[in-house]
Amino acid sequence: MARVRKRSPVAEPETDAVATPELSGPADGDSADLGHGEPDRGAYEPFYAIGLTKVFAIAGREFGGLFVSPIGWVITPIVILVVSYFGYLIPVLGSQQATMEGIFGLIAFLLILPIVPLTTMRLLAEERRQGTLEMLLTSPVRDWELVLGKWLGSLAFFGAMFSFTLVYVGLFLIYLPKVTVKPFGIPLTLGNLDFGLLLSGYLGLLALAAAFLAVGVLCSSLTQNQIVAAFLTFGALIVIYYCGQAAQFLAPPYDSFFQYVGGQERYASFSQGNIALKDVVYFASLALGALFIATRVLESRKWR
Amino acid sequence: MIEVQELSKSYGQRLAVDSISFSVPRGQVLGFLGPNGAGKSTTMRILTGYLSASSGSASIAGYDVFANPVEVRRRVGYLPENNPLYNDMRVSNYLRLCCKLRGVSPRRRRDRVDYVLQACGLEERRRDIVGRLSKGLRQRVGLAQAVVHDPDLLILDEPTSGLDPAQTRETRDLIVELGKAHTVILSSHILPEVSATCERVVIINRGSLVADDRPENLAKRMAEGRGIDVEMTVRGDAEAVRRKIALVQGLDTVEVVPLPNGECQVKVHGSQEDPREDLARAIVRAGFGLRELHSRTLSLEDVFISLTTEEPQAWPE
Repeated sequence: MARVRKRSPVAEPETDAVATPELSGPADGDSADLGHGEPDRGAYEPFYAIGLTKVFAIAGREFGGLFVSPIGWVITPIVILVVSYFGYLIPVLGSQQATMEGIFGLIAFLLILPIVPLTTMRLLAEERRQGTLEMLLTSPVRDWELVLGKWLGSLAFFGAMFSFTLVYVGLFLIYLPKVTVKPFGIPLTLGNLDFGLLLSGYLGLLALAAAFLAVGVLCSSLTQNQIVAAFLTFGALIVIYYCGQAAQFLAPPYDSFFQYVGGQERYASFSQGNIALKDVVYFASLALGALFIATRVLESRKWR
Repeated sequence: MIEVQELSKSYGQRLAVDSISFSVPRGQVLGFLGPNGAGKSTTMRILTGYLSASSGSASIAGYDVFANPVEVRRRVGYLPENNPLYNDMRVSNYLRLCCKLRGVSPRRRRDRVDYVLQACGLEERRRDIVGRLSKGLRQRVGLAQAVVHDPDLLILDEPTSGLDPAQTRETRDLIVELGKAHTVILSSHILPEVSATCERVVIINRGSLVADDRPENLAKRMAEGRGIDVEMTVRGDAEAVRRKIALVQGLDTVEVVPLPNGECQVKVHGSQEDPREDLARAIVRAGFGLRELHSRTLSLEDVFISLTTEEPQAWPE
C-alpha cells in the first residue's frame, strides 16, 4: 500500500499526450502513454481498502434487489397476514393477553419455512448460474466481502419485513392500561408493557435471523440451483432448530450434545426475557461459522 | 503491462493451460485466438484473478496476480464470456454499482458513468432495465462496465459471440476505439475479427501457445516455402486451355474446371517464381480470353487451420 501511495502523484498531472482525448475520460489523470493507471486515492481510500464500501454496495444492491424481485412482494404480505392473524388477533384479542410472545414464536417458525430459504436461495446460487459471480469476483472484491455483503443485505431485508410488528407494539402502547414512567427524568404516560421483555424478544429474533440467514448464505453458495439451495437451507434449519428435542430420547452424555446444538431452547430463553451470554455466543458462532464456510466454498473455485 | 511466465493450469488430470509465456506492452491490442476449449478463457480468468494457476507467474502493471489480486483487479476491466449482467437493474445504476465495487471515489462516479454511457452510445438507455435491452445493447453495457473504473487493461472474452453481423461490426468498432486508449486483450475464435482489430495475435491450441506475431507476419511466414497459388477465369475450351497452360515453366499442379457459360476456372500451384506474368502471356497469345487472374495469399484462417489441426509443434523461428 505504501508503494501505491508514493506512485499516485506521478499519475495525477494532466497531460495532453493522449491519442484520443474523448476516450480518456473527464477526470482522468493520464501520464505520457495512455496510462490512466492509478486508481484515484483520497479520503475515500481507507474505507475502500478495508472493504466497508464494497460490503455496503453489495448489501445495498441485494436489499434493493429483494424489493424489486417478486419474491419480496410475495413473501411479505403472506407473512404479515399469518403473523397478524395467528400471532396477534387470536392470542391477544381472543384470550385477552397483552403479549408479543405469540408473534415471536410464530416468526421463529416462519423463518424456517418460507422466509429464510426463499430470501437466501438466490443470493449466491443465482450469481453463480447467471455468471455475475464472475463479474463480482473479478472486480476488486474479496470473497469474504461478497459473503458479508450478501448476508447484511438479506438481514436488512428481514429487518424491513419485520418492522411491521412495531405496529403491534404501538397498539399495546395505546390501548393497555396507562402507567407513567420517567426515562431520563421525562415523564411519559404509556401502556403498561414490559419493555425489557420486548427488547429481549427482539434481540432474540435478530440473533436467530442473523444465524439462520448465514446458514442460508452457506447453502446458497453450495449450488447454482435455487430450489436445491432453498431445500438445503430448510433442512439445515429444521435440524439446527429442533435437534435439541432429540435429547429427551438419549442418555447422558449424548443428550447434552443435542441440548447444546439445538437452537429452540436458546431462542425461547430470549423471548422469556433472559439474555444469556452463552446463547449470544451460540448464535454469533453459528452465524460466523456459516459465513466463514461460505467464503471457503467460494474460494474453492480456484483449486477445483 | 502484462508479464506471463510459464503459466499452467490443470483441472484434475486435464491440462487446460500448458506453460504459456507472453508479455504485452502498454497500449497494444492483442488477439487471443484458438478453437473452443483451447484454454483462452482459462488464461483470461487467471489473469483476472478469478482462478488461480497450478504453476507459473503472471503480473499486471507490476502487481503479481496471485500475491496482490485486489490491486490487479482495480487496474483490469473484464468482460466475461456470455456477458453476465444484473437483469433487474437500470443501466446507470448498474454502472454506478460497478464504480462502487471498483473503488471509483464518490466525486468521480457521476463523471465516469456519464462518460462511459456516452462512449458506448448508451446515453438514451441510461434509465432502461438491463434485462430488456437487445443483445447488441447488452454487449455495450458489458463493455461500459469493463471501462467504467478507467482500467489500464481491458480483457474481453469473446466480445462478439452471439451477435448478428451488424452488432458484431458495431461492437468491433467500439473495441477499436477503446483500444486507442487502453491496453486490450481480446479472445476470439472468429478470425476476421482478430485481423481487423488486433496488432498482434497469439494462437493457443490445446493449452499451449503455437504462434505469436502480427497477423500479416503470420500469414507471410506461413506462406514461405509454400509456393504460390494462382486462380484464373478463362474464356475458352477447358481441355485446350489446360494444354496451353501445361507448357508454362515452373508449375506443380494445374487444375481446370469447365464452367457452364463457356468459361473455365483454372487453379495453379507454382513452387518457385511467381508465374502470373507467364500465365497471362500464354493465355493471351493462344487467343483465349483472360477474364480474371489473382494470386491467393494465405489468410489468417489458413494459418489458424494449419496451426490448430496439425499436431502441435513449435512455430519456426
